Amino acid sequence: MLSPEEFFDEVYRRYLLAKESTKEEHIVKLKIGNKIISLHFASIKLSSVILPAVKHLECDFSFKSEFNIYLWDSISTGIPMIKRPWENEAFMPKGAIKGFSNDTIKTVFQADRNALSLLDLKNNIAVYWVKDAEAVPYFETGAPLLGILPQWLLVNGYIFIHGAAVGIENYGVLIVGSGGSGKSTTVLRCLKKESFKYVADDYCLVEMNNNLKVHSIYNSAKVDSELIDEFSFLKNTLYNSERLKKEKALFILFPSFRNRLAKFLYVKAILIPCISGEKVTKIISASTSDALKALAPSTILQIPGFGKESFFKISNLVKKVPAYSLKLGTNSDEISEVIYKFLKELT
Amino acid sequence: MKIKINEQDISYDIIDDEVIIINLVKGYYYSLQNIAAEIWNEIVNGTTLEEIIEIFLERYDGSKEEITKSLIDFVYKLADEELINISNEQLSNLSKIESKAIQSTQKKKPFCVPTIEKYTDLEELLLLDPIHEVDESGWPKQSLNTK
Repeated sequence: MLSPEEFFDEVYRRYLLAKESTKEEHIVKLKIGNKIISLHFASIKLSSVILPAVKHLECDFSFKSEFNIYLWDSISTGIPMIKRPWENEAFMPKGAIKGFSNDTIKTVFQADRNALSLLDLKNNIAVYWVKDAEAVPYFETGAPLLGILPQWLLVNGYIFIHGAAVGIENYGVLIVGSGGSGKSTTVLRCLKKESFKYVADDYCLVEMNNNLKVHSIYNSAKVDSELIDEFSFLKNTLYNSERLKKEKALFILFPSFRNRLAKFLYVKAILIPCISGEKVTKIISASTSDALKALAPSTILQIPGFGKESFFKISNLVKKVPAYSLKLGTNSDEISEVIYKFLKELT
Repeated sequence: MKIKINEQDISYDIIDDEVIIINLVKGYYYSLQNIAAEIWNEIVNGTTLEEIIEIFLERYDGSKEEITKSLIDFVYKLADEELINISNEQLSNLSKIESKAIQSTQKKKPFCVPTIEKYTDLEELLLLDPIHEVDESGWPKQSLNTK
């Protein structure tokens, strides 16, 4: 049986064969937080479905990379993947593979998107493979590389969280809660108002220094397709207009909304949205433990590789800023105004 | 009887007198407040169950039987939820625990039965995604999914 290191080396070797095969290798450098990360694509097909959501973070090519990710697929490169070296019983929750991770190597196979991620924390390299770039599902395009980025960023000083973020000027709020709690619709409603800047609708990166900072990772936003009429101002950014009967609407905000995308904001508060059933939207004080309950489980239970360390960090995060309950009213037009006034008062 | 937290499978923190616990294996999370949070604190500090009962008899107004039974029931619930590690032998001995009668002159607080608030809304996140039909090399054949 292959060791995790041997499996990593073999998958990486096949990346090298893939780029030789296509002669299409291209490298894109991203600045995520303050980290420079290089994405090495073996084919254009794969970059066309992985890059859109992170393209707004592209940086100057002269920057020195701290982390290199090698991405390839079998169909567009003609290079087959090695025979799967584990039995069905080795598949664990959150894509973990029993026997194929250790302190250095982290192996994740996300069955919902058929994506294999291998991360070498010691050498700061990772390999990402899918069989067919054309079959990458829309939610992977909206938030790619979840099997790699969160774990690497966690050991490099950041907390990758399941949460949205918007703000005005340089200040913003984190909006946290499990799927369906209203994060995405709230941030998109804020985006209707010119003064708001967008950081994230589902996942973002938090840096905990003296001032809490939230950094953008993905410029995407995803809402139920029946709500699409409300967000007609985003129609030019709709990624999957032909598949809305089966998929949520995925908006890729860069480059059309480039002026509204903030790379980072200083976090002034945590908002926990819930539908109030009343007409008026209100923001009322909530407890730190409410913020922890809204943020920690939904982050840790869905991000591959997250566990005790991330819980500890998220627990510290929620103690840094006040938490509020965002009681969403039925008059959706005023939600952004309420958050705007709230933020103005805080700053 | 010393009770140990299930450190391997859970993470927890105590914020504003509320204990938030997440079971990383089952996908459940919990909130303990008031007396339940106090008991958890004592367990974390290594206090034996017998000592916890004595402390609570001293601290709370209630019959010895009521308080003892409530605390033992609570330990059963913690064990049921796998938030603590307790052996079968310890479990069978729980009902035999005797507490000393406490004579206290200090003013006691009213006792209420400790409870566990359990949240199960996210357990599906830990369910295994089905592995679809595989090809000759063992990797799933690609199919588009919606989420």
